[in-house]
Amino acid sequence: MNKILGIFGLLIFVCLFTTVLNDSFVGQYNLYNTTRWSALFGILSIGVAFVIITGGIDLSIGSVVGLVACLLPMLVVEQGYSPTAAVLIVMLVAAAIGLLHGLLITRLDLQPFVVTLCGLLFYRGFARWLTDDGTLGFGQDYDGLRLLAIGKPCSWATMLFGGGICLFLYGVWNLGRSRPPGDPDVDAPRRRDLDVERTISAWSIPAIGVLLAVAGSSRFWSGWESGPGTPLFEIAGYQIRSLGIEVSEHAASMPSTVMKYAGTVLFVPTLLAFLLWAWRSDAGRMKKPLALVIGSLIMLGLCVWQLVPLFRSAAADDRWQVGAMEVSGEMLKTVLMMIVFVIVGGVIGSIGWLISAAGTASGKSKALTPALVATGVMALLGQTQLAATMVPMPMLIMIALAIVASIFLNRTVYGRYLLALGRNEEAARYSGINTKRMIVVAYVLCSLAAGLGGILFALDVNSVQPSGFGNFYELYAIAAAVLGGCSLRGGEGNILGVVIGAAVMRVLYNAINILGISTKLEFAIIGMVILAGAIVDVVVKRIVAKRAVLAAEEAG
Amino acid sequence: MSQTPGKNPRPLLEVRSLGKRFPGVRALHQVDLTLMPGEVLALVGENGAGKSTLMKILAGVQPPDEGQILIDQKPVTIGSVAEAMRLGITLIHQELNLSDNLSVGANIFLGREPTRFGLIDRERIDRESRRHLASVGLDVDPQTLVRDLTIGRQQMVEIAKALSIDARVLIMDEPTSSLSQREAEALFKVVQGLREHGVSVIYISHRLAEVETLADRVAVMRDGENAGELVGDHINHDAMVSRMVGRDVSRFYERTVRIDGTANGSEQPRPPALEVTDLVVPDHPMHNVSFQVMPGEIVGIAGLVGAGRTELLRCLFGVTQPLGGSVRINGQTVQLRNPKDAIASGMGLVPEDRKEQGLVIDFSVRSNVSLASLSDKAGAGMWIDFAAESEDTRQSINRLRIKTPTADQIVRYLSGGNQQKVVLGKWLAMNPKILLLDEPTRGIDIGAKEEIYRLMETLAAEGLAILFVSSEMEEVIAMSDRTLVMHEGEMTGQLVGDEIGEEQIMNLATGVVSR
Repeated sequence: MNKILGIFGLLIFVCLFTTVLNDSFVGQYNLYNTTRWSALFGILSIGVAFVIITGGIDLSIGSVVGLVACLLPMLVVEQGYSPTAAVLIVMLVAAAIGLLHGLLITRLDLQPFVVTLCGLLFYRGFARWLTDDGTLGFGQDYDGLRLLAIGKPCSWATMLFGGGICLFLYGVWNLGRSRPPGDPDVDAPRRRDLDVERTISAWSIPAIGVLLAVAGSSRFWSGWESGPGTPLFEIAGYQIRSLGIEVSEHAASMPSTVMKYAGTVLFVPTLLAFLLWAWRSDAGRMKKPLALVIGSLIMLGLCVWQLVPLFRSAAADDRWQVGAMEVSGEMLKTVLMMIVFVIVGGVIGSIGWLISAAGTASGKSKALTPALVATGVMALLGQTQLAATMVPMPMLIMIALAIVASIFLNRTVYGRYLLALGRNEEAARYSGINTKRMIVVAYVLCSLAAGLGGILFALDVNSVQPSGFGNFYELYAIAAAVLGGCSLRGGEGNILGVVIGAAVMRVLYNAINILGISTKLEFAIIGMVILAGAIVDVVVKRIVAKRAVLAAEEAG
Repeated sequence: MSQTPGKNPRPLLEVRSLGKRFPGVRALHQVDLTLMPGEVLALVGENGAGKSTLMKILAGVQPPDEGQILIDQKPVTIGSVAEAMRLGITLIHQELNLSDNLSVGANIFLGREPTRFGLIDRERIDRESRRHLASVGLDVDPQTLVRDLTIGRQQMVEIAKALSIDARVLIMDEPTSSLSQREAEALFKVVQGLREHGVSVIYISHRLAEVETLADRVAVMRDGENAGELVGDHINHDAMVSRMVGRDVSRFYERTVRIDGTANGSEQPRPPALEVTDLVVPDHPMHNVSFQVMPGEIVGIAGLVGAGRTELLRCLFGVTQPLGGSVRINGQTVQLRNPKDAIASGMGLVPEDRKEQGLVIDFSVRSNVSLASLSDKAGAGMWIDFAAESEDTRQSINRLRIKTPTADQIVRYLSGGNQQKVVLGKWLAMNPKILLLDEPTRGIDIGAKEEIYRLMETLAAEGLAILFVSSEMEEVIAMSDRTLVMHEGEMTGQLVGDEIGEEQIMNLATGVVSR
């Protein structure tokens, strides 16, 4: 949970940082593209997360993406298969690849690194030979198929509405379903506390759902989507058209307004309650981080006030007189960027500290954290054009996949088996788990996700070069999974974190472009961020371990 | 509390009112200790009594919070392991610290390799290693790889390594925990030899019998404090145990009832819970094994290390495949291709190595307890039943008295005894008919041991068939209704009731007699 909050905090701050320096980041065009690419890489990352959880690795993802991306247009355009059949065939190929990896690893005891490294080389070479290195594409035909990747089924406002309703229903079901029986070993005042914590966290889910639904539905108050007969669903050549109600320009921005105000109005009391409870439970521990947070927020305010205008007005070829020195605009921009970077880092760090200090101090403040985060994020998103932006089709696919994957990992015995064997394969085997079969399943899932990603990438780009298509994608996917909380030692990971990790990677990439930082630095910056994430993770883990030892010793 | 033997009044090492606190825990409090040159001082105490902390401080792994350490009556501060070594103090860990991919000689000189012209001087390593190995009576080529040696010989290499840096104080932490009887005896001889050469040994052990034979003096620790010292003739089992637990205890756990599984009595004959016929365990293909365990019976398997007992249990549990023979459970022949089959037919195995095989050590208590029974209780074969999981965990914690702050505590941070109880809880959650236990009380303290004995007895009374392997003679004698003895893969005999005694077991275990 803390890990997800951490990576989510990083995402928010990279976004904020970029927005402050260049607000075209939150324009419709850029939001659409960023979400689309995040979703595409998210699909690959979800797949590789399963393999990483078993303690393995899959280096062949990029090549599988390339192979699938070549096969699909070949089958459809050159061989004349129907799109449905072609998609099924390439998915079967992907599944077979995963099966092969899994069997080689479990039956012959080969190392995953070796097997998938050979896969990386083989599938790439095979794809190039198959296509004779020629560029492939779907041309202007096959729009129905291409809608899978470039379709825009609805706006984010509608998504918020739908998601809010689902979250609300889930929350209500969750509320009615299980009240854990009162633990007889716990004394009365502690039990009362526990009850309050449970109530807060149980109610916060439907409450957030209602808020999202209300925000999204403001679009509906003044008309369905954005005008008469706009496309609602465009799938496989069908267009389901929406209600033909005329709406004003103003109505299109309603969801943002609602989110902004509702989010802000709720954020303040939740924050106050959070601070109050945290403060009351252990005032001493809270003072330091709180002072730090306030301090760094003031710094952030100052830097937004002073530095950002300076940054924006500095063109690269300007000459600036700073004291006795003359600096170039580019230099000035770099320096300003670094200062802002440090300050934003301080804010991330201190808020993380606040949450962890408060989180350990009191269960009540911990229970408030999700609500706090959700309302805060809504208030921020209200400032953007997100609500009016269209949802890319891959995002819907990725969300569906993430939900299924998350349920598989956390609610089914198979998911539990994957986590168990990732931590300790021998103990899992001694507990009656067919570990070899589960490992094969993980590799099949990973290759299937890579296959699905390959299809979507090919349809999206529509121009596939066999020699380079999907190069390095496996590393992006692995990096996203690691950022999202998977440990390469295995046995650790959660889908939400991985999806957010993939988003962080894309947003960083996008930020580098949009802020005009030299793209030559792209890898350097992404590498630094991942390294920083890994370091923070290790430090946090040590602290957690220390606390756990103490708790165990106190219990005897 | 310190005693000074008459002839040599100058202590080599002296510890004065040493204290160490970890947040929330007082690990050591006002501990005094003296060590004479050429003395074997045994340090005993339950797990968590502070023995390890004290030794870590002496070996420079951790600094003390208060108190003084004197060597040759001069105060010293031991800031690091290297400093401890310079002062002549070496700690030999329970888990040996050798690089098993390197040769014996390379290990002895690891980190301080002699060089000639900037290159490692292999000849000198060879020559000097041979000398050091000879001094511990070990006759191996210094170029042998460490992994090709038995655990006992590896231990000797560690001692030789310590001697090679002129150690004056050798701290040995549970040195015999994974040694066979013969290896242990060789070790005792080396320790005696060290004593004659004026090297002092601090010997930490749970095995009080060897402390009795080996130690000149015994220091007992309890809850981080000195709980008394025993010298010479006063060193005996009961005196040590009563100081360790702070009360008088009977010599060993005594069972309230014993049953005789071989006689069926007046009841109508029942099939044995487990019947093994001519089973050929792959690790010992030359022998076959036959025996049976009745419901409600506790059968112990005794033998020396390497007698094939663990291998037998692993084979019964489907981890390895038998080369021949059959296994019948409640009269039905079963095929055990993997642990899953064994579990499905009602078996549970508490393995020898609980950290590697028994537990997913970084999982919570809850996830470990439910791991084996998860699929049986899953809805539609795949949905985890979280309510059943919580209930099973709660029951295990209460029934086995697992000391854990919450059900979600990570098992790694529990004590050895509590970890073992979690492994037991895992099997109890699936209501097994047969429980296989491999060294169930290894490395856990006396309190937890007794609880496990009591539990074994209760479970047997409920009709469970229990087959356990133990290297602790007292445990086998006290706990088993019937004892099977193995020697180098062969079942050399079976002892029932009053026949179960130390001498009979040893005769069978060493292959002197068989029947």
